[in-house]
Amino acid sequence: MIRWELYKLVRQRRTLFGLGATALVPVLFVAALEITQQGPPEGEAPFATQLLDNGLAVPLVTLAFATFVLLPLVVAFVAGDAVAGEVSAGTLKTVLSRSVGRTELFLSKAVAVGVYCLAAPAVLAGVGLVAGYLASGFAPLAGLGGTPISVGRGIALVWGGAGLVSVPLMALAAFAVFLSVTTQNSVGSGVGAVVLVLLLRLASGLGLAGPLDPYLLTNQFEAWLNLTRDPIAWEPIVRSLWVSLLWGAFFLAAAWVVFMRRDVLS
Amino acid sequence: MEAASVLEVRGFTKKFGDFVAVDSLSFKVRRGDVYGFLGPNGSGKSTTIRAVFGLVEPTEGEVRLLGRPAGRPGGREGVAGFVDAPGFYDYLSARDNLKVLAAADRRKGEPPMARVLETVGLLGRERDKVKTYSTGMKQRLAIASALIREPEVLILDEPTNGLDPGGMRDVRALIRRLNEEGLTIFLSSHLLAEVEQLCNRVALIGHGRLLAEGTIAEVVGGDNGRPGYRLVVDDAQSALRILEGVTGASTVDAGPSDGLGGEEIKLAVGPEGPGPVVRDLVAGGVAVLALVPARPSLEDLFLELTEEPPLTPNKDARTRGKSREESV
Repeated sequence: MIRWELYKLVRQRRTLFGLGATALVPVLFVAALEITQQGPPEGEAPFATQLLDNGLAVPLVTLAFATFVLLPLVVAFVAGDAVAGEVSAGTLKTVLSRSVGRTELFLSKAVAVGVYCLAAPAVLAGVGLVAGYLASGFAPLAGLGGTPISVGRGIALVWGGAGLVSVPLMALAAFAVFLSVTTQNSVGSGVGAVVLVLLLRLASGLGLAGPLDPYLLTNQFEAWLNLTRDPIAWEPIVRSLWVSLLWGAFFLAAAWVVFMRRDVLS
Repeated sequence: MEAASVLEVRGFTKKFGDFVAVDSLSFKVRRGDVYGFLGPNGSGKSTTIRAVFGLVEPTEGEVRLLGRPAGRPGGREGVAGFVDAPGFYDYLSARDNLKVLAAADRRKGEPPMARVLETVGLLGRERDKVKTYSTGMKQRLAIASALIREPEVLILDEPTNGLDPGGMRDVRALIRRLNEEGLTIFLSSHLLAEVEQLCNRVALIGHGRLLAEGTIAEVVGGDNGRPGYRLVVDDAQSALRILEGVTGASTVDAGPSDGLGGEEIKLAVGPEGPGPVVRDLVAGGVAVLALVPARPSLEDLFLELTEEPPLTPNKDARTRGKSREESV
C-alpha cells in the first residue's frame, strides 16, 4: 500500500505544484539578486550579507526564508488532502471495501505525507545549491558565531538543515491530516494548518505563550540554524526534535482514532 | 450457522443522531442467488450496503459475510463490489486504479487484468486516465474492479446507473453469466423490470424497514394464485352480464381501456383458463379486442408498499397498474 500511496502522491497535480513552487523560490531569489545586485539588508536573515559573492549562502537563506510560509503552506495543502481528497472523490469507500484495514491504509498515507515533508525541503536545498553555485560559485562561509565554515561542511549543513526542517513540517502535516480526517474538507484542512502556523507565530511574536514559548511548534523551524554555530549548539536542536515529535504524535494519534471510528458515508 | 447463507443481515439498525436510517433489518442471501435489494431513494439501501462493506458501524445488529462479521479485519474476504457511484482516482489510468485496488486486496500475484477488462469491454482503453471516461465506462470499470478480486459474492449498487440501453443490456447479460459461473449476486436497484428479469429473490425496503422478502412470485403473488387478465371488449355491459355465467370467472373492475378503444375489464379465470370466457363472449355477440395476461408486477407491489402520500390531491392520476409489458 505504501508504494501505491506514494505513486498516487507523485501523480497528483497538487503535489507537483507544491514541489514546483518550492523549486522556483531559490531560482527566483538568485535571479533577483543577479538583476538588482543587492542583497537583503544586514540582520534581515542569517548569511544575507554573503549572498552576492557566495552561492553557498543561497540555499541557507532560502531555507530560512521558506520555513516561515512556503514550506508549511506546501506541506499543509498536501497533508490536508490526504484523507479529505479521497472522501470527496469517493475513493476512500472504494479502497476500504477491499481487504486492506483502516490502520494499514492510514499508516501508508502517513508515510507518504512524511516522505513529502522530507522531499519539499530537499528540493529547496538541491535547487538552492545548484542555483547558488551557478550564480556565484562556492566559497567558505562565515558562520553565525563568526568561525569560517568550509565549502564541504557548508554543503553538509544545507542538507542537514533541510533534514531538520522536515521534522517540524511532519508535525504540522500531522495536524493537517487530523483536520483532513475530522473535517473531510481538503482546502479547509490546508487553510486550517496554515492558520495554526500564523496563530502560533503571532502568539510567539506578542509574547503570549510565556514559558511555553520554546515549545510552540513554529519555534522549532529555526532550530537547524544552530548547526551553523561552532561548536554546534545541540540543545535547541534536540529540543526541536522531541517537541516536534510530541506535536506530531499527538495529532497523528488523534487522526488515527477518528479515522478508525468514523463512518464512511460519501 | 447455515452454510448456504453467504450474506446475512440480522437486526441491523443504523441511527445517525436521532434519525433512524435503517430499522431492525433482517434478510439472508443464499449461495447462488441473484438477490434484488429494492427500495426508493432514501430508504436505507446504501446505508445497508455500506454496512456490508464495513464502511459504517451498525448501531445494533450485525452483518455477516460468508459467516464472518463484515466490519472486522478479514470480514470482506471473498466479497467484492461497490456502493453508490463508484469513486476512482481520475488522475490515474484505469489500469493503475485496478492495481491500487489489487494492492488493497493484499493479493499475491498478478490480478486477472486482461480477462476482466475484456469481460467488461474496456480492453484497449485501460491506459487512458479515468477522467476521460464516460459515466458508463466508469460503471463498467467499477464492475471490473470488483471482478479482479475474484469474489464468490458480488455486491452491486445500481450497476446499470448511467448506462445507455445497450450498456444496460450488456451489464444484465454479464450479471446472468457471472451467476451461471457460480457467483452469488446481491443487486440493489430501483429499476423494477431489471430486478424482475435478473433476480430470483428480493427484499423490498422502505423507510429503513423490511416490507417484503422472498422469491419474486412469493412477493408479488401473495396467496392469490389465480391468474389475472386484462380483457378489452367493445361492450362492457354485455360482457359483464355474460361473464357472470362463466364458471370460475370473476371480474374485478371495468373502465375505459387506454389505447385499444373499447373498455377494459380486469378478470380472473377458473382452472380451465381463459378459453371458456372468450368462447362465451363471442357467442354472446361481444367483440374481444384483446386478452392479455396481467401478471401482478413488482412495480405494483413496490408502489403499493412504498407509496408516499401524494403531493397533489389527485391521487388516481398516477398510473399504478402499469403491467410488466409497458414498464421499461
